[in-house]
Amino acid sequence: MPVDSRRLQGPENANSYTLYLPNSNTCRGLLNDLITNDKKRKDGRGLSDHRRIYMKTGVVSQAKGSAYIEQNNTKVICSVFDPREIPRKSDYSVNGELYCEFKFAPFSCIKWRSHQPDAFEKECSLILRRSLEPAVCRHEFPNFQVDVYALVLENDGSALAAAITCAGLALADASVPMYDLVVAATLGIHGDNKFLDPSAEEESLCNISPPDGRSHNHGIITAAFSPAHQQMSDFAQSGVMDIECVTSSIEVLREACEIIYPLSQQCLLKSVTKVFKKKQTETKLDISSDKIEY
Amino acid sequence: MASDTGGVKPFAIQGRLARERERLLGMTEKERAWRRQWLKDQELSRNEPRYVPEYYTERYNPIRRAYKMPLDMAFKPLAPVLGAERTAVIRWFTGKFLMIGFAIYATAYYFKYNAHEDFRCDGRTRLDYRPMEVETDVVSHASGSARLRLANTDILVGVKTEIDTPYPERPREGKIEFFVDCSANATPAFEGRGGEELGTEISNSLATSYQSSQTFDLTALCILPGRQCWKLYVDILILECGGNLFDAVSLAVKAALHNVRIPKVKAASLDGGTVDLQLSDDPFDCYHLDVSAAPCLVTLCKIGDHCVVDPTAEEEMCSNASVVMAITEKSLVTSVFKTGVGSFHPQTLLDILKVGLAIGLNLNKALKAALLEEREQGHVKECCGFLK
Repeated sequence: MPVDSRRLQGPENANSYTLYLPNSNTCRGLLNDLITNDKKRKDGRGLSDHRRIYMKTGVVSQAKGSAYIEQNNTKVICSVFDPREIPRKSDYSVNGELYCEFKFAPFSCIKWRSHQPDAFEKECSLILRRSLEPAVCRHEFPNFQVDVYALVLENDGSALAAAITCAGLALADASVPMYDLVVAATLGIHGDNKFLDPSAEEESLCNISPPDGRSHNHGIITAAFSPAHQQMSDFAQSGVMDIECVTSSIEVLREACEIIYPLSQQCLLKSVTKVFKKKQTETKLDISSDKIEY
Repeated sequence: MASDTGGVKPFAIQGRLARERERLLGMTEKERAWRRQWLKDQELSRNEPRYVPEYYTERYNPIRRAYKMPLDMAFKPLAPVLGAERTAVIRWFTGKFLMIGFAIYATAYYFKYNAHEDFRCDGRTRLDYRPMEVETDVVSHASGSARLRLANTDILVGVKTEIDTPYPERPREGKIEFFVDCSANATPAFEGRGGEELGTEISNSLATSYQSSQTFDLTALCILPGRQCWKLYVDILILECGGNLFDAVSLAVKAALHNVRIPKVKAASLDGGTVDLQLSDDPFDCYHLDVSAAPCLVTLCKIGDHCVVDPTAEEEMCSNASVVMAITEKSLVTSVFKTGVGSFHPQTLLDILKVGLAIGLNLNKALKAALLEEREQGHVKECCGFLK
C-alpha cells in the first residue's frame, strides 16, 4: 500500500503522549496496576482465564472464505481468496503454497502504524504461515497459491494468536482441504506470573525485565495447535526464561487451545447448517413456484 | 476330533504272533529252512551298501544334491581313512553344525548392524557439531568483525558503529540492528530476491533473541541519555551455504560483538539543542562490550524419529520441521521458534527443547574459550583468514 503523501504526518521528532503517562515505564507500577492482591487481573479474570471469544464466518462477501474473531478489544478479520497460480514462478511445485499477510490497521494500536509492513508484522506473517502450513493439505492444489490476509482492527494483546485462530477458521470456511482446524493461544510471562491471553498492557509488561531479586523470567509465548492430531504447528517464544518455564508453558498453552477448539468447531457447524437451511428453503420455494405454474 | 479309525479304538491284529517264539511254533522243517535262508539274506555282504548313482539322483532333487556336494566332496578322501560309517556320521554333524553356526552368525549380524546406531553419513553422532573455525578482527574498516566457517558454511560478520539518537521510550539504551545479506555467491537459489525471505527470518530471529536487556546490555551503548547513543549495525554476509545457517550466524555475530571496539568519549557538551562530542584521538583507546550473556542459536532438525544437531544442507532437505532455540551461558532460553513446514507433538517438542539446552550450553562454553584465547594473543596474533 503506498503512503498517502497528502496525509499530514506531523513533525518528525514528535513522541507519543503515552510516554508521559504515569506508571508507563516503571515495572513495579505496571505490575501493581495490572494484578490485584487476590491474583485478579484488571478486567476481573484470573491469571489462567482466557477472554471470552466471539467468532463468525462468512463476513466478507467477496472472499472465498472469511472469519472474524473478537476477544474483548482484540478484533481480527481474516479473508481467504481462491487459489491462483503462483506468480513469478516458472517451475512446477508439487505442493501448493500459502501466502499469508498479517497487518495491523493503522489505527489498531495506541501508536499509529504505518501502511507499510514493518519488521514485526513481517515476522508475524511468517509465524502465521508456519502455523497454518502443517494443517493444510497442500498437495491438493499443486502449483497454486492460497492467499490469507489477516487484518487486526483493534489490538488489545494476543493479536497474533487471534489471527491464527481466525485464519484457520477462514481457511475452513473457504473449503480449503485441511487436516484439522488450527487454534492458537498466547501466554505472557513476568516473574512468577503467567498471564494467559494477555492484554496489550500485560504484553508490554512481559517485555520488560522484572526487577532484581525475583525470578528473571519474562516473555511471550505463542503456540498454534491442531488438537485432532495433537500437533503443535508452531511455537514462538521471545524474552528470557529458564527451560522449566518454557516446558511448563507448553502444557498450559495446549490446554488453552483445547478449550478454544470446540468454539471454532461450533462456529463452523453453525455456518454449515445455515447454508443447508438456506438451500432447503430455496428448493421448497422452487417446488411451490412450480406448482403455481401448473 | 477326527481319527483314522472313526472313533473305534485300534487293537493289535498280530495276536500272539507278535512274539518270535510263538511264530516259530508249528513250523515245518522246510519252512524253518526258508526262514533261515531269509534271515541270512538280510545280512549285508561286505560289498554293501552299494552306491548306486541312479538311486541317489532319484532320491535327492537337484537343489539338495547341489548344496550337499561341497561337503560330500570334502569327506570323500576321508572315507578310506576313517571308515565309511564314521565318515558319514561326521559328515552329517558337520553339515548341521555349519547350518546352526550360520544361523547364529546371521542373527548376530542383523542385530549388530540393524540397530539404530547413532551415526550419520559423515561419521558424527546425532548431537555432534562439525568442526568450526572462528577468527575475529578480519575486516579493517569495521569496528568489530568475525568470520566463522562451519564445514561448508561460511559467514562473515562486520559491525559498524554510528552515533544516533535513542528511542524516546528507552532513552538510556543504544540501538542494535541486524541485517543478513544472502548473496547469490552462496547458492544460486539466493539470486535476485530469493534470499530475502531467509535473510529476514534470520535477522528477525537474532533481533528477538537479543531483545531482552538480560541478554545484551544496550545501556553500555548510551552516551548522553535521551540525546546520543551508539548504534551498532551488524551486517551478516553469507559467503557459502552448507546448512545450519542459524547456528553459524549467531556464533559469528557473538564473536563479532565480542570484538567490537567502541571509541571512548572524552567530552560531551550540550550547546542548546545540539550535542558536541569529543572522541579520543588514540585509536586503541576504546572499550569492549560484554557479550557473556549473549545467546547462541541451536537448530534441532527432526529427521525420522530423532532430532539431529548441526544439519548439513542435505539433512535439512530431508527434514520437514526443525526447532531453533536461543540459549545463553546461564542456561536461559531467549527465543524458540519452528522452521519448516511440519509440526510437532507437544511431548516431542519438550524432549527436543531439553536436548537443545544441553547443546547450547556446550556451544557457549566452547565459543567463550575460543574468543578468550584469541583475545589473549592480542595484536600480535597470526592472521589466518583469507581476507588478510
